[in-house]
Amino acid sequence: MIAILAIARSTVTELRRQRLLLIPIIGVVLSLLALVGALLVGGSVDLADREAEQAAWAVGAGAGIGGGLYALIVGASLVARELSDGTMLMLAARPVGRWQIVLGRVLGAAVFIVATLVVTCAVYGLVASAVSGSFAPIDEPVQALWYAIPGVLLALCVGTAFSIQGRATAAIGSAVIVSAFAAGLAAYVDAWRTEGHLRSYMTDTARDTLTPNDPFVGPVSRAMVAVMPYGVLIGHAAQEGNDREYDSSRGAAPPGSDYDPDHITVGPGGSGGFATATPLPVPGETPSSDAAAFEGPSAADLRRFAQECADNDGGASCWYAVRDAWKQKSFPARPKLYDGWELLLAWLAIPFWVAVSILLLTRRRDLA
Amino acid sequence: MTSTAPPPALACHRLSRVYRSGIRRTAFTAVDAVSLEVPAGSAFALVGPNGAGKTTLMLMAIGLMRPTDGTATIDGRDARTSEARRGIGFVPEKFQLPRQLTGREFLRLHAALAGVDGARVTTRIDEVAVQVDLADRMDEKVGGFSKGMQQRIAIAQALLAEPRLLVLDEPTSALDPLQRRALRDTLRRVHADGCTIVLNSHNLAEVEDICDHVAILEDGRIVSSGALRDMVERTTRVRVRVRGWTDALAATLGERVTLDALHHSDGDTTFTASVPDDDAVAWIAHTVVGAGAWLFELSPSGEGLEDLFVRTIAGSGATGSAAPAPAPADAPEARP
Repeated sequence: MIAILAIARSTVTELRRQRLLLIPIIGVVLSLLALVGALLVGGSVDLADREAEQAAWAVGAGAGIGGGLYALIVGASLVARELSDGTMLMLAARPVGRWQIVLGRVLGAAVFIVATLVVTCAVYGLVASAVSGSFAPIDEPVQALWYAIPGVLLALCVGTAFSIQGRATAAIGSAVIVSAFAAGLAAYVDAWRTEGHLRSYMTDTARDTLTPNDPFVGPVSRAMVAVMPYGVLIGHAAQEGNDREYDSSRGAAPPGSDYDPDHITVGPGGSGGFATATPLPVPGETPSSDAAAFEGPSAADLRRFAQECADNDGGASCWYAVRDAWKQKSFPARPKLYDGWELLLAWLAIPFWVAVSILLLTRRRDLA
Repeated sequence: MTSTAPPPALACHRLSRVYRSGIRRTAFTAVDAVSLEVPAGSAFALVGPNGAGKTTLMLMAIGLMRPTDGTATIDGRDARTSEARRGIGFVPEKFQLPRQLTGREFLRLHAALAGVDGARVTTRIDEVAVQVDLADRMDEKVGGFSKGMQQRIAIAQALLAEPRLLVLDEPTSALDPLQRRALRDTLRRVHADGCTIVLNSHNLAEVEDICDHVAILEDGRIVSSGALRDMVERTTRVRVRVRGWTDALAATLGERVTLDALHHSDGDTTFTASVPDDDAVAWIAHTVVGAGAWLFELSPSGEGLEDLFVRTIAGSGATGSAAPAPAPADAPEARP
């Protein structure tokens, strides 16, 4: 145990002093710039509430993706560099098992990466709170971390395992890693196809990654998830946040509005953008007589509807409500592919990949 | 008697290592069924030309590389177990140190791994820092060290736990002459304290200075091994310079010693001769003077380990006649 802790402590010290630390620092700076930019561009947008939360979720998902990438870089270099440099020889010549070396390195890197993520998100949350005047951003990144951390640790352990095996399998590992991120990219493409823009793309990433009905994204996402559940964790982090928001807003219409998720209406004027109504047609229901002539919810409808929101000064809340309702109505029986077990899967996968790393290092014929 | 004899500090039994490369998995035998024993308390040198398999053999011997065949033990225990490596100090040939750690942090890590008593860690780090002349640089990052300083801090980590067995692979390759001398002094000191040393070095003067046993490795096989003194003394040669050379003198000398490299120049004649013992040296002097010639020089021809090395390697390569020297009973055993 002493050996493991000594190696872990040394690992934290080494990582703390590496230039690699610039990655999360640059990440948080860019996130803050994005927030400030959103503030400046958003103008009269109701930033204190929903927009701030969305922005916070963006950084939460960003923490997952950025942290995962960071963890992969750290993990891939962790043992591989020691093997190529020869520092492993001096460690291995000590009366410690190779399993202790792997555990010590992974533990140290895990502590460092998690601490970096927490600090990064905390800094962002605090600054975002100060800027937006809402404390919501502090809460949301914490939620994001809850889901992102196992994914990040999983990425670290996968990176470590592949780095031990050498070049050929490193290529395979890279393919797996790239595919996981490709799943996220596919989600962005889907978001673009569905909504015509990438507004709030981070939160849509999750939902659309998990869109099982899309003929293109659905199979691709499922295939990617089958290879590595990492991308799903990030997605789920954001999805969970969206669902919570959605559910909370479903529970009761905001005071002073006529918000009803089953009868979303938009129209000119009115408070909160929900005043005079044109009901959104619901599949299987007959539109009311004064409804707009929608053939049914579609991407084009959504865009048109959202445009109405904007034209009628419905604001962001209107737009989101429309979008959420459309999505719910579009996929009434949408299966919950990844409900929560993916967290358990990730936590189980972490010791699995650590064991793989130990096995690979132990079975290596040489350490030089 | 054998039950009380201490096990060798390091022993290899028919260690082999075959590398395979390329699509056809072409085999290359780096180490070929090498057996040797390093007696506890000895200073053992492994020498050989580049690519002879010294480093591979060394790594297998201390359990850091898995042999294709054969076994290795440290103090009688399987070298691949953690327990066997307790009490080893090792400096690899190619090494990089963790650049982001300070010298002190690096040594503290190794002290923890080597099981140095927590209360003694600080003291011990200071001691080895002084030994390698880095006491005033210990709080600097290792990445900023020169190559020589890095080699010295690597040596310090090997000395840190007061090892019973010190395994050094080219430990002075980056050191300047002063530092080499300091290291030799240090090694002699730890050897005198009972530490067994296994040294892999191309610097044969250094080997002669420190080691008492040597094995010459070529093409993955040990071609000669034994106590250094015996191996060098078996082939002692003298260089002789005489004025007044005659055929009669040549014939007389030729009765007892073989005259090599006979050379006449400016009235002087020089030659070298293999001499079996000190009496033969005295006899040469007596014979030359007795024949009325002038003896200007009678000195050891300088054959040391380097000459032995060259002759052994050249002989084994050209004619294959340099069979492994028979090792004395207490010498490291070589079974090529």
